[in-house]
Amino acid sequence: MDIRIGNVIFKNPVMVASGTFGYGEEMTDFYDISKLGAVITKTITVEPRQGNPPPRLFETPSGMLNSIGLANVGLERFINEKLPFLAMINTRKIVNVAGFSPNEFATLIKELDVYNEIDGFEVNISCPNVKKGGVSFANDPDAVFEITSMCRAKTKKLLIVKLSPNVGDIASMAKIVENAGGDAVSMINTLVGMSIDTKKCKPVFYNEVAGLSGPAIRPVALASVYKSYKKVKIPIIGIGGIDSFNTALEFFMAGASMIQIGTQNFIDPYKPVEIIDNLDVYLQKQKISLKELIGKAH
Amino acid sequence: MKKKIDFTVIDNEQKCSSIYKMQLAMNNFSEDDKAFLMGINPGHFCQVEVARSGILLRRPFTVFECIPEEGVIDILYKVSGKGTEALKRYSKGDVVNVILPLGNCFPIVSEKKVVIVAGGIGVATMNRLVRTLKQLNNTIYFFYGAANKESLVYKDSLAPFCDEVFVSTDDGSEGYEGFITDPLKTFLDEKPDSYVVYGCGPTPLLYMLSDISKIRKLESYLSFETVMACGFGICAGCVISVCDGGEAPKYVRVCKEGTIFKGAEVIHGH
Repeated sequence: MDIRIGNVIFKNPVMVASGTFGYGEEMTDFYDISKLGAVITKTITVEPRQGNPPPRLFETPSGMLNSIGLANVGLERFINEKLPFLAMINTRKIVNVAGFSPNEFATLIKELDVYNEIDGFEVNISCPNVKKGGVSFANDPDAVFEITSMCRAKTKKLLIVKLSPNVGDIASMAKIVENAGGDAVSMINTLVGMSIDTKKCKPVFYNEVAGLSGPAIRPVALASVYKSYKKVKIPIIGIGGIDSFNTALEFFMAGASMIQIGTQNFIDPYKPVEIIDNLDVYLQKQKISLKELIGKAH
Repeated sequence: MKKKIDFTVIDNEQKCSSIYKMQLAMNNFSEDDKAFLMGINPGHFCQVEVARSGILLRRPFTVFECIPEEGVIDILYKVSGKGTEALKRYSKGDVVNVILPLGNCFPIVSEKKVVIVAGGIGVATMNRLVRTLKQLNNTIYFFYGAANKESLVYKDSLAPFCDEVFVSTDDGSEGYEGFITDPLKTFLDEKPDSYVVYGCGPTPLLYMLSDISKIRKLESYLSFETVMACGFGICAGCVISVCDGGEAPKYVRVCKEGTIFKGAEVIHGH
């Protein structure tokens, strides 16, 4: 079940999505997280962020809106307080980073690149619920190229760019990442959504719009992976409403080399491990390799 | 250690028009499970999967009762949305998946004068606390406010463990008509003492209790309820604002750093 992305070999193709797994520590109450293909941290920014005022969550049909606002301890405290824990885990560690200018992305990668316990980076260019910094970089092809190139210049480690579905053609954005030297793309980040409190006659969230995740977005995510697989050669990491082995299988068949479990971690923290186990059994039963499974629906 | 466990519904009893008590027995109950359940203390909560009607997120409920010897837990819930609407339709024999124990638990004092304040369904959190505090020879002044007389569930069963019971209802159908904080303030004014205050109920009540204990310099422990996605600290969605030790206010997770916070630390309006 091992798979190579860039210069990194993962023991299995199941990761956990940024923002749905804390810094990893919280999940050790449930299971040995070394079983995962990789742990991806919540987004780290240069400065600490308190995040958005509550309410931060709203349940929707088969999904949820979140407006957390990239709450995190910031680069310095991440290195001092969170990295030592990650160093003890026997699996791949990917740090998700976000900046409010291309230079901030480059700074984060440069500062973190020296730590051997970090295997790679996932660059969050698409979080839709942060007003600061203005328009999302993910909507701007030039910014996607610039950020990817700048990050590439700062690291030889695995470089994944996480793409937003809130764009005209996500496959074209994936191509830009490929051209700019990214090792892989992950997709999709949350869709922009909102809810209105009809008693108060105003949006539920302070930031008005929020990020929609969960099974509700799965068809959008699957189509994004499927379309991008036709357009790029770099591996695709599929994310979006995966809540079972069968839905994970859909993503591999659509063209994902790896997958990330996100919202489902909130509901069933054991789900990633269950999917890993079921995938192993499936591949043996079907007598096919993971590589053969990837893109099989094309 | 937290666990995700299947329970079977033994009973789902309606206590008043909107409040139900669900009794759950652990499937495949063993001696290890007994030890595990003994670690569930007053204040701990659980996340209950409501797998019906396409509801995505679990729903958090305090552990109302816990009987380790029998592998049984009870939750007391108020029907107030889609999740609890679905939950009330569960019946004997249905299987419910539960993650527990979650959150912190109440600091337990002994041989003190304690004030326990329950607002509405907040009584669910106080059930085990009242009994535990009584066993440790505390003098208990119990303040219980609800919408109306019928919603004062478990008042009579908790009363024997309390030295004095004060009741309020919104409509005046029993006790004082108005907020429970009114008789509480009167009591504290008339009989000032170094009470330890415990509270659970609607968030505005908790902020009022925080203010009351700050002004009177009373040690207080308040159990908050917010919307949660996970219940174990990874989504960061359930925050409230606190200020501990003179620093600037910060957001903390109700599910992880709480649900119980010192009244002196919580900050209203942030």
